[in-house]
Parts: sequence; structure tokens; C-alpha cells
Amino acid sequence: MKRLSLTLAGLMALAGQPLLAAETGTDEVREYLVTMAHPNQLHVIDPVAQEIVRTCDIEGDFGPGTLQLSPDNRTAYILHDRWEDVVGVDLTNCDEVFHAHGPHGNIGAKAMTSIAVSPDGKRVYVIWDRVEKNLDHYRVLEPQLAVYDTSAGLDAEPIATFPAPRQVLIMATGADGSLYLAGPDIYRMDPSSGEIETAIANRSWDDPDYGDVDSLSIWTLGEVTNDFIRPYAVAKYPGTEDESWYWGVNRVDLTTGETERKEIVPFETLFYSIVPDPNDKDIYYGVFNHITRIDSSSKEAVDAVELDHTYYSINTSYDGSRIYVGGASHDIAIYDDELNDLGRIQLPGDMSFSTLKVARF
Amino acid sequence: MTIIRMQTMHGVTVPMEARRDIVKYLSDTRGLAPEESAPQRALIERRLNRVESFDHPTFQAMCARCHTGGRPLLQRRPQKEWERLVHFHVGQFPTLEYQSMARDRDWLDIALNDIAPWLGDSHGLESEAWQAWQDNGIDSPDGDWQLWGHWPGEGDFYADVTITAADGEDAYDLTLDGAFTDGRQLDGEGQAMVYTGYEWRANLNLNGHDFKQVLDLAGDRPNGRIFDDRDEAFGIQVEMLPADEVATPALVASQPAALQAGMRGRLVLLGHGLGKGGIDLGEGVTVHEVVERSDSRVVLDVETASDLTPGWLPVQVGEADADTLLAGYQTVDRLELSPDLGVARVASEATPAVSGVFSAQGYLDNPEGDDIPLGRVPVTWSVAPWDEIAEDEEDVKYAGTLDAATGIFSPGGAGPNPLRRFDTNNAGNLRVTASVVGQEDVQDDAHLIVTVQRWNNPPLR
Repeated sequence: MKRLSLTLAGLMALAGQPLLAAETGTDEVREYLVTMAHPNQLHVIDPVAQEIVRTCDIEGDFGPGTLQLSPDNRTAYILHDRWEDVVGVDLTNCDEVFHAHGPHGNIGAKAMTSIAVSPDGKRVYVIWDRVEKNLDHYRVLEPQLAVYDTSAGLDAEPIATFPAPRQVLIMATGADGSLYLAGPDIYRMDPSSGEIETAIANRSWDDPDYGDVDSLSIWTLGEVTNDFIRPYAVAKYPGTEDESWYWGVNRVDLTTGETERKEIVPFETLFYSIVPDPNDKDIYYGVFNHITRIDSSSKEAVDAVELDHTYYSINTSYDGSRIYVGGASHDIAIYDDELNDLGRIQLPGDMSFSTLKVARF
Repeated sequence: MTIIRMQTMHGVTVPMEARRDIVKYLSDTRGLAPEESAPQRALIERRLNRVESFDHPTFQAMCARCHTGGRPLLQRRPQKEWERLVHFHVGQFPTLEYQSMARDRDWLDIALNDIAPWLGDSHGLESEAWQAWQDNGIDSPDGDWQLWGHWPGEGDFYADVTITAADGEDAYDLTLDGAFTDGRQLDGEGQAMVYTGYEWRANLNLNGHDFKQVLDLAGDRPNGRIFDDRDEAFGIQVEMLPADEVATPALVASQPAALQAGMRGRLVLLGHGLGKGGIDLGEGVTVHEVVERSDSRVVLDVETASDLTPGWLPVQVGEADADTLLAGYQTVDRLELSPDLGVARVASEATPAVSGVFSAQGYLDNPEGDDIPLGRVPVTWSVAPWDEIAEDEEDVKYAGTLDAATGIFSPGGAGPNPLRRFDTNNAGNLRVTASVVGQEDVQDDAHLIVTVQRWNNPPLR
């Protein structure tokens, strides 16, 4: 295993901060925030002490910083190095435990935000957008779902590949091993065979009462409630006097496989990401310039707080008592479930589009 | 741009001189005829603040949402090469399939099966126009010319231009000797290269300022734009006439375009065959002095009567006359700002500011026909919030400053501003208003959006 350097800041933070459960020798499970930030650092953060617990330098350039966690939450899998690498990092010691490189020879490959980990932790799934680079011209190839064995080490090659739809962004796995892909529709794939079906229709959803669905979702969130969540915007009764715009969510319950598509609130505020409240499946939180609490049963924004700047990525604590927002800039803001400001955690670099994950171990 | 991409994206080493030679060779042997480049002169001249429209239902969303549609429409390829351009785009810029106006459709399929065939048909490799241009061409531009235009913030000017052949194929030196209409001197010099037989590209220095110059030499009256390469909004539309004697005397331009009643000042008339004969500007205009006179130009000190009749003024210089060249007015009936919608950009060291450069044209109502243009009339400029949000966010305070005399908007600095809500940039949504001096109720508005900098600034956007 390749030992990655701990930064000075990380070491200093460690010295005075609570140690990870494993290091304290206790069985206490603690909650951490995990995110990537410029230039190439993975941060493990204690949201209660509001301190960085550990900072891992990840070799390679930043981008996109999309994260998924192993089932035991101790390993983070990151899309990294200008969208061309998948890196697995042990969050307890910064060891790099997995590394796969997408491009091969004259085949260029980049993974937008398409990464997921199997429920048993043995497989990492990545969709590579590929192009054949010939001497005087390029030829776009079909995207490829690559299946990796997480124990394959630092020169991992796919153990299987399958054709994948174009324009897929985030992915997640269900308890039954199904792989969900958020593309033009939400697809359900059997990653052992590559068989694919539509789980929730979006582009192919044909309802004259609705306009075309637009969705940009690049944050792999939903781990707290074990949901696969993709927000979308849509016009109801388009082109009529009654035209009205809504935010909606595609939601897959990853425990049961149940799917849902519903409008949750009028489109009055911009959101980049939306997550469910762990204590109430009808309540959602969305973020951009505000944190907004949404009651999907009444389709109302029931509470909102203006933020000091734009944040992209929203998450909650497992008990629902804290709301975390990150991305965009270099600080993570923490609010309670009444939307009271609990403070900020400053990071040395911008998080840009990286995911703000909540880990417990 | 293709060669630069080969350098920056694929590591090809091309010395600057070789690059110039390659561009010259390709444009001379594989270029566009004047009528083929004509629809895209504004793009070639780097005129900003334009809204394009196309003869295809989805070309705007498919292609022209990232760059101008003019960029591909200045190219000619067989369909196979248009398809390769699509493949290159997705391979090189993979996020394009996920952006707004792409993620809502099967972008690659539409690009390959709808857009590429359309371009192959409308913008294929071979054209009769190109063949005809190669067979004919035009004469070399060396010789004497007269050039004129309006320098934003400085005023109308004219200049004698001498073009001489320099070392190298189609290379020229030029000198400018001229003046603003208020009499201030305007001098300049530069070096030019002519591509494709008519595409003039020059580096100019005018009164100590460095500019680029793009001209289309193909017509009787070469025209184009002089602009600041670091702030392309800042430019001067120019026209040029041969200063040689021509058979038919003619009046071509007037600076200014209109005279107000009861005023005294300079009037410059430009054309051919103006060197001799009487000068008559009608009853209401007295010529006090002929300040300068040549075959191509007369500079006059004139005074208008206080009871000047509004409308076109008859102009006669020797054997040349014009009855819709110079207007007279008492008051301005209508004002029109240009551009309607301007986009300025905040400044950083790496990305210089893009200014807002506005102009105000006056008009006289004309019951008998089209309104009579008065050219740039004296106005006072001001800026205000465009809407309530812009007012709440104090956009006027942060976004920059508008010069009340010139209509030139200088944006603020780039980057998050901790004094602003959400730490936002010095962006702004502004209303620019000009009102006629002495007629404050005659005014017009334009919309100015001040936004963040562009990071990718190829010569053809």
C-alpha cells in the first residue's frame, strides 16, 4: 500500500482533536464529514468539535471530487485527477488502498460523477465516457460501466465491463445489489450481467401536462437515509395560463428498491442539491444561496435561512439534528434543524463540486 | 485556432513564424470569398453585444450556446469532417453533453444525424464563390486612402492613410495623418498583412494607443473595425476611400451628421472631387472659413441660423452634391441607444475588463419618410438599478462607473467581494440612460449586465 503524506495542518489538528474511534480503542461510533478540496486534499472533519481531524494529500490533480463510501464508511472512493482516476483512501490513516486509471493507450476516459460501491463493499462501479484518439481525428465511443474489485490494489483493472447509456451522472447501489444510474431516465442495472431497465422515466416520461424534465445532479448524496436522490425542475401545464414550475425529486429507496417521482415545491429558489430529512420522509432540505426546508406533502418551503455565500452540497447528520452545507468555497457551514447557525469549519482550499459525505465509524 | 489547439492540446511545436506562414498559406489557398465571410463580419471584427439568429431550429441550442454560431459558419467542410468536428467536441469537452440544453436531449445523436448533414449541405467544402474569387481577386491596397470613424470618448476623426508594400508577401506598412473634427491631431502608424486577397489585419498605434485593425478590402469602400485587443468592446467602426482622383465627384460622409440651429463649429465633408468649385450648405448655414480643402476633403468653420429649418440640408461642394447627407435640427425628437443590451465584465490581471461602450443616436421625426438620423447628439449619461433586486444588492455601487460625458462604463474588479451579500462578485444588472443635453425629457434606456470574466478567450468567440 502506498502511504500518503499527512499534511502539517492535518497532524496539528490530530494532536489536539478527538481521535478516530479505532485509535481511541473504544467502540464508540462517531460521525464525520468527508470531502475533497483544492488542491488535492481529502478532509475528515469532526462536525461537533468543528475541526479537521485528518487531511490526506491525494496524488494527482483535483477533480471532480465525487465521493462514495464503503459500507463500513472507513474507505472513501474518489473520482480524481481531472476525472481520470478512481482512488480509494482509508479514512483512518490516509493509506491509499485502491487506484484505477481510466484512460488506456489511445482511448481517453473520464468519469463525470458516476461512481458507486456495492453493498458488500467488494466492487466499485464507474462509468467511463470514452473517446478513441486517432492520429488525425477523434471517435466518440459508447460509455462503459467498469466493475472493479476493491481488493485489486493500486493498479486495478476492470473485472467486467458493460455498455452504459450516455449522459449518466450520479449512481448508487441498492441493498439487493442493483445499480441505479441517473441519466436521461433513472436506470436500474444488474451489474453482474449489464442488463438494464428504466426505473423512473424522465426523458421518456410522456405526460402532456408536463414539460421536459431538466436535471443536473452531480452530488452523490442520500447515504444518511439510504436513498438515491436526484432533484429535477419541470413545468406543469407548459404553454398554458396555468403554467407553473416545480422542483421535484426522483427517489429510490435503496433498502426496498421502491421508486418515486414527485414534485415537492414550487420553483422559486435555486437549489443545487436536495436531501431528505432522516426523521420525516416528507421533509427535504435544499441548498444554494439558502438552506430551505421543504414540506413535500404540502409542497411548501416551510423555512429558509440565507447563507453567507453559495454552497453546492447539502447533507444532514444521521440523527437529523444538524444540517451540513459545503462545496463551492472553502468553508463548511453547520446549522441545526431549526436552521440556527452552529458555525463554520474552514478548509485550506475550495471544495468546488466535491461531495460532502457523512461517515460513521 | 486549429493550429493553436494542436499546440495547446496535442503538444505540436510550431514556431510563431511558421504558424503565421501556415495560416497565410491556408487562408490564401483554402479561404472564404468575400461574400462568404460577409455574414460574419461582426464576428471577425470582434463586435460584441450581438444576438445571432440562424436558419436552423436547433443549431442555437446545439452549438451556439457555447460559442458564436458564426464560428462554425466561417468554416467549410465536407459532411464527414463536420462529423469529425462533433466527435472532437465530445472527446475534448466531455461536459458538453451534461450542460443545460444538452442533457435534455440526445445531443450526440442530434449533432451527428441532424446538425452535421445540415452543415455539410449548407457549408460544404466546395463553392463557386471561392472559385470565382480565386480567378479574379482585387488590386494591391498600396496607395493613398482617406479613413474616418468615431473614437468612443474622443470624437469623430478623419485621416489620410498611406499604404506601402513592406518586406514579405502581402505585407504592408501604413501611416495615418489626421485629426479629430475639433482640430486635435491624430497620428498613427502600423503594419499589416493581407490574407485571402482582401482580409486586412493590422497592428496600429494611434496617438500612443495600441489597436488591432480588421478591414474587408473587397468592396469599393473598404471598411471594418479598429479595436483594443485587450478590451474588444472598445472599438471604432471605420470606412476608407481611395484618395486617388476618380471620374465622378461625390460626397460620401459628413462629420458631424447633423448641425443644430444657432451653433458654430467645424464641419468635415469627405468624398471625391471636392477640391474646387463653390461650397453651398443652403440658406440656414453660413460658411465662415474653409479651414482645409483637398480633392477628398473639406473642413469648414460653419454657423447655423437660429431659425434653421429642421430636416435634410442641401450640400454642394463643386460638382458634388448630396441631399440626404447632412441634417439640421432645432431639437431632437427621439433618441436611440446602442447597444440595447450590453455585457461588461469585471477585471482581473489575467482577464482585463470588458467595458460597456454605449452610443446615443438622435432622430428627427419625418412625416414624409424614414426618420432623419442626426448621428451622435450631445447627451448626459447615467446609470441606475435595472430592477428591485439590483437596487437591494446595490449593484450601482459595486459594478463599476459610467462616464456621464462619454457613455463608457468601466467595470469593477473581479473576485468574491466580502462586502456584498453572498460574497458575490461585482456583478450588476443596470439601466443605462442617456438624455439629450437641454432636453432632459428626450431620453432612452439600455440594459447593461456586468458579469464575471471569461477565461477562455479565443480570437473568434
